[in-house]
Amino acid sequence: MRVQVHLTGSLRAILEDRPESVMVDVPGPSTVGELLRAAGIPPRVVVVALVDGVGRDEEYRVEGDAELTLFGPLAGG
Amino acid sequence: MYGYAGRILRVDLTTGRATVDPLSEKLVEEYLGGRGFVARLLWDELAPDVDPLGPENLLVMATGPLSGHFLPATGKTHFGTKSPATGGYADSNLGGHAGPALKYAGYDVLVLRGKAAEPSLLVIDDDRVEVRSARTYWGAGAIAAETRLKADLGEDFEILAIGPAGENAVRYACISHDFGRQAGRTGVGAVLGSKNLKAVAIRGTGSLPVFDVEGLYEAGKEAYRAVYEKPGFAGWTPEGTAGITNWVNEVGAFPTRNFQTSYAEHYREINGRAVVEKLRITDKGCYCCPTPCGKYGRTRVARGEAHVEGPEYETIALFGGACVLPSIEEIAYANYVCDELGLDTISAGAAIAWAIECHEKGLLPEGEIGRPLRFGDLESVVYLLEEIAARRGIGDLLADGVKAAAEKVGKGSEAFAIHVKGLEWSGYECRNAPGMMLSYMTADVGAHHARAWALGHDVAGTSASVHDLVTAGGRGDRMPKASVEGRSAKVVELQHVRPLFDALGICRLQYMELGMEVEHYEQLFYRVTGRRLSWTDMLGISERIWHLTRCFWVRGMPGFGRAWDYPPARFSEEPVPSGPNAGHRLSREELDRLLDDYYDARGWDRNGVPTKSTLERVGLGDVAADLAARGRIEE
Repeated sequence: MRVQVHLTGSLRAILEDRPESVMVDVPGPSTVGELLRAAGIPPRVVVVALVDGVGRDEEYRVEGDAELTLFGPLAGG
Repeated sequence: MYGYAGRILRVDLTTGRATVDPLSEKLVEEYLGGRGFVARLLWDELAPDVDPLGPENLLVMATGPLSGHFLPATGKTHFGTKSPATGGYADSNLGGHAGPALKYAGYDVLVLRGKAAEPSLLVIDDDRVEVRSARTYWGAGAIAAETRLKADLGEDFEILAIGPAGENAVRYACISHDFGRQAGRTGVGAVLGSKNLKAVAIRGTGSLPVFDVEGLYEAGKEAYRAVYEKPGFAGWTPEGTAGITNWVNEVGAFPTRNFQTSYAEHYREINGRAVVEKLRITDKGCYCCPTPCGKYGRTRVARGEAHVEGPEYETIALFGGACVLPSIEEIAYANYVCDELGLDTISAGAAIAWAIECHEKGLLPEGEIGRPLRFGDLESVVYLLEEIAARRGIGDLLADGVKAAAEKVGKGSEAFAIHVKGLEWSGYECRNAPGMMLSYMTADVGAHHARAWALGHDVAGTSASVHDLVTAGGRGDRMPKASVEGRSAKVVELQHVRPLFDALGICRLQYMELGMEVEHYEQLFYRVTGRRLSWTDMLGISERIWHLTRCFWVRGMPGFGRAWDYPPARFSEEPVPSGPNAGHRLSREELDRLLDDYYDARGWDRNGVPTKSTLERVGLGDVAADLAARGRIEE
């Protein structure tokens, strides 16, 4: 299955060498944490992960092709 | 002068006289606007030895070149002064709509000096500027005053007001605007209060000159489109800044029980989701903002209910973490009380957390306080907030901030008075975050997060490489000891990026959180002003401003140097007792290594004083000459 992974602003500032979007191919259903590792993204620096626009935790299982949007940390107001 | 209103409005509150000066082209060229204008005007016009709460002090309100134009998030306005909290350089900004109104009234900058004979209101209605009596508003809460002033003057006036805390010279009183936006830090509200000025009301109906109207229209559309099309756009707004609470806690940086530890068990009760599910009525944005991060809501607790904007993350961290309030409703109520009293939630929360720890340790007995105090108790928090704002009883001690209070109480309480340079620490515990620690140590207003926010880089860098970190475990796992090596370059870089937005008069969130490309800012700046500056050029100006604000401290504080840059002893002497960073601390030797590297990267001497050659390199030769003449730097 194929998962499009998007990195938002602050995450790209931290992982400076990563593109804004990357396609990840995995053999079958995977958790968000497994997808992050497959994309080379340290789970520890991801604040929020959206799967097809819905917030999910690291253990959430993605069953098919999906879009994964990742937010890095930001300073509060 | 495209992009700018082209004028500075000066009001002497002692005489009630208003004058207008042209905005200097040199000032525009060398300092852009906003924070840059504040820093240079304070350097040029403020004598080093003035009392921050005396009539000679200045309060400067400054917009930037992008402020007020129909472009993404151009509502930011800067306030600067000599800080009553620290005695040093100070600025603080707010969003909302006041800055754009000032520009439409025909002024880029407002400079206030003197002291009115009675409680007063400054009304700026385009070219009509007058000082009126504000006796009937004196004593009112900041938001109540804003409500009444809009009813009395007209809904189209933008209001900047102080609450009772500002009237009573609480050294961390804020300026309030737009029913919940504050210039919160460094005591700018106390300076207004010291001038007997309850509020400033602004209505502007003019227009702004733009270099290339058609080009700007297209560039502006492109900038908005870029924001809306960013993959993070839809996901970022719902929780606003409160959305980071879980993460900060899970990486062991959540300031808990007056920063005794860095992990709070109850974080799920006080996070961004709790704000949305238990408080939120609607989102609220500033001028021209495509990503409204404000959360306007209602809270109900045993002592009453209130409408409030927030709480933002920092308020959650200080009242939910440092004071350990157990629910988002109670944090929001404390937020509401602060907003009405006109108190900075960060400094107030830190002062209260320090007082409760003192009480637990027997350093502030019940007889001195007026009641018992305990962590996690809303009644303790509200009692102290009201005492502080009125400077009553124990509140008079706490109203001067934790540094001054600890110097009076003594008995080791200085070690857990959490501040740098007299400004209370905001919402990130740093005993295993050396980059963020250095950011706090060297921020030019004291311990504030909005100058450089390096925590994300610290977390990413705690393994030998990012590759190791990919498999090293998730959030909430124990964090490895962070190295202090190589932190200074990133902190220096960040200290130029974030404050650049404060000079441009625009919010940073679209860049920082959504990744809006710098080319948009270059285009917008060019189409507005007709001046071509690359992002690198702008960062160079931001660097100049950074050195200038350091020089403000050097000139004004006898003996200023390295000793001012250390955090409280707790962070180097007490290992974190629990959570992901249990056992970690930054030793004095590690702090010294951070400072040495940082001073080297800055071109400052080992006492943290800018050298003559560094100042000349960044275009501050006149500043170097001034400091040399005063014997503050070597020839």
